[in-house]
Amino acid sequence: MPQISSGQSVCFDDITIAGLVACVPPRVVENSEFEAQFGSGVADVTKMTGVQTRRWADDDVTASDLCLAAAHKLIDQLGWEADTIDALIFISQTPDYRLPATACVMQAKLGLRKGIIAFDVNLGCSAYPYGLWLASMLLSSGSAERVLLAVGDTSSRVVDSQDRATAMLFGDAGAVTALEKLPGAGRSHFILGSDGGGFQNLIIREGAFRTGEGEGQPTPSKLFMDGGEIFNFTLKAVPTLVKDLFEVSGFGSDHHDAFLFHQANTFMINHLAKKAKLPQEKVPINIGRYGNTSSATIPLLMADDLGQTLVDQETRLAMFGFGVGYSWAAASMPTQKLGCAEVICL
Amino acid sequence: MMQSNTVGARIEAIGLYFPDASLDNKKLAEELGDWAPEKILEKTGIRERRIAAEGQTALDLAEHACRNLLDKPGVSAEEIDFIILCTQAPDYILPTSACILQHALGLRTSIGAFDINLGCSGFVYGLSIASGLIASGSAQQVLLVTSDTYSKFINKKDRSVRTLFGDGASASLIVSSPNLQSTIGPFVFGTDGAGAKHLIVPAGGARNANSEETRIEQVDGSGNVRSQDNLFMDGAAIMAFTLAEVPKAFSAVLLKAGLVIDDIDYVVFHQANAFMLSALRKKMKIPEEKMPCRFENVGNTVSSTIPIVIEELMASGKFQPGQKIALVGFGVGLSWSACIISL
Amino acid sequence: MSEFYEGLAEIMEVDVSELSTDYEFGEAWDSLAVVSTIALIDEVYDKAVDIQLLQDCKTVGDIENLISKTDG
Repeated sequence: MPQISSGQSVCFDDITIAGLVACVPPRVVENSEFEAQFGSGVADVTKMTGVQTRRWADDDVTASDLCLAAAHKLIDQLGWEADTIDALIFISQTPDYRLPATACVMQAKLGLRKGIIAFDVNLGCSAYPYGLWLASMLLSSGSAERVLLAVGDTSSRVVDSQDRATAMLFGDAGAVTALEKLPGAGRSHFILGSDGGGFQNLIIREGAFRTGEGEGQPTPSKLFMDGGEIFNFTLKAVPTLVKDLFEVSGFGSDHHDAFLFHQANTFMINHLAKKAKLPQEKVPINIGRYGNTSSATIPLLMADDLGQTLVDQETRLAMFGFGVGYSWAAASMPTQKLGCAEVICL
Repeated sequence: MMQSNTVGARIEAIGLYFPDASLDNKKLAEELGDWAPEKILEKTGIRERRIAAEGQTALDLAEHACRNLLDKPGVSAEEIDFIILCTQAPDYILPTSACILQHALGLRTSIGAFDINLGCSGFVYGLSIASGLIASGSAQQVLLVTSDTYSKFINKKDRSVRTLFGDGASASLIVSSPNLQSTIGPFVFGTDGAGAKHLIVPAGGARNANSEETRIEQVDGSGNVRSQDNLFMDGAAIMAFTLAEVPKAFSAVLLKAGLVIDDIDYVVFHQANAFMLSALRKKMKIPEEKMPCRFENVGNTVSSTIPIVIEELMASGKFQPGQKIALVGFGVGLSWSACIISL
Repeated sequence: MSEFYEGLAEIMEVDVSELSTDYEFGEAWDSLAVVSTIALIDEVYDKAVDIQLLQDCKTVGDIENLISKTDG
């Protein structure tokens, strides 16, 4: 294993994405809806983040509801028999319950068999490449032949409506990806890393089990983001992550068909792409329409901007998830023609 | 970098931690009124539970357990290259507690870290992920941590759960095994979300956020008091589930390993309570000496119960190289998992 | 039936001679008694009875009926 500074690297052979479906709630929230509250601040924030519209879930809709709708569609489109699915991983920071794990609840609602592996992982911005790696590991170790990876968040419910920096940034979405073994699928590379030293910079201080830290803060039970610190972290971590992924995979900028960055904000993604000298046309950005959907940004890019391409062609994708934790993950993954890659509305 | 499934994994060492405060049966009897201390002991097999202090979280317990592990000979913080933290009581909704643990322990930043949300089946799940990490070359030394503070979910006037659960943490170092033979596995898993409602904290997640309404306490038919923010357990349903699924999971893992019960030196079940363990023992006809237990002085510590038993077996020299232990975790989810380990 | 009666007597904390099909549990039929009885039925008859129906049982006879109606 070559020593790289950005994280643990690992590769897997013969793992393929069979298909994916992303699901967004129907309610479109326009920037104009914030004008009464933030006035000219809306334009300032929009210039930086690039978010024009976002989708917000109704109060009775959770991330697992979005993922369940996506999963039903995906299983149907792929023609997978429910009892051929061996594992369900749900990655979210807005699960249905404190306990039990939401993945268990979803197992029953999807009618999957009782013998499956099902668990939740708590990650945000780094969730998708982490999840692909975890799914690949289950497949590679023989623990599973077919895996469903569900990622999703309803961040709209945890943002501070008084804080224009976050109130307008986040959107809600869920996405489910079907993975299976396929001899000859090629090699996937992953890099994973963590730095809890920055945990305070993107956090909900109150609401779980550490208490008393939010005293003196305006809304401690809502999302707090130190935008400057997050930006600094990103600038430091992500360019190295890009370089290291190219190095460990042996596939450089030319060998990848698209570079999928966690959709944190438009300015940041453009800056990262420029810094890494990536061709702009290979760096899709859809945060303008959906906002930052946390764990779901990358699969939402795949299902939306790349949907047709992924169905029609074989590709190699580079993915970079980074943020809350801090936690980061990168993937270089070949795709065969996907059986399904689309966005649905709940 | 080579992808290989031939690298085996084994448990190198286990560190434990229990909070200082003790809740014994005498104190419980005084508070709950209608049960004598002897009756609580007789029904649960538990003498005392350890309870996290106000302001002390599962992450704090986890950090102590990790430090106890790191103090052991041959365990080095620099070598650890992955953290899996299994908890249902994280410090924050976000970020993930495993990242904070990485920093608190001064581990490298170039390591993976994440939380998984599982209860009684969590340790065996964690072992499976850890051995997958090692087999796939993702990591060489995995820190597998289990920690929970169910006391914080439990209504003080709910004897159905207050008598059973205690707080505690375990930290296990899982390393690649020098002989290429894996000493962790095979595994079997199971999930039945239809039973999610039988062991649940109904409010506090995205489905049903905490509110004035969810805080309202209600008295159930047995005189137990709880709100939707509290832990609810349908003991009868959990018992029925356990008796139906655990023997099947045990048979399945033996079959998968090509073993019969006589090949197994110990069977370590999730330490739910004396009553459930004795029902399982009778049903599965496991000799008492093959079924080590350790909950009398700590209660049901959820995901930590199994490593707590293994730690004692290792410390007392009862677990020797070549011996085989079957582990079976089962509960909240409903989720269950079983595996075979040897040293 | 004797093994079952002995177990049930232990659960209800009464002498086995007191138990008959007409024996009413009353208040003592609490959640712990139900859980214990699930284990007892499993042990003696290797049957998994419906929990709701078991909870609704008022007498020993009710339980016996439930057991006989439940498939093994």
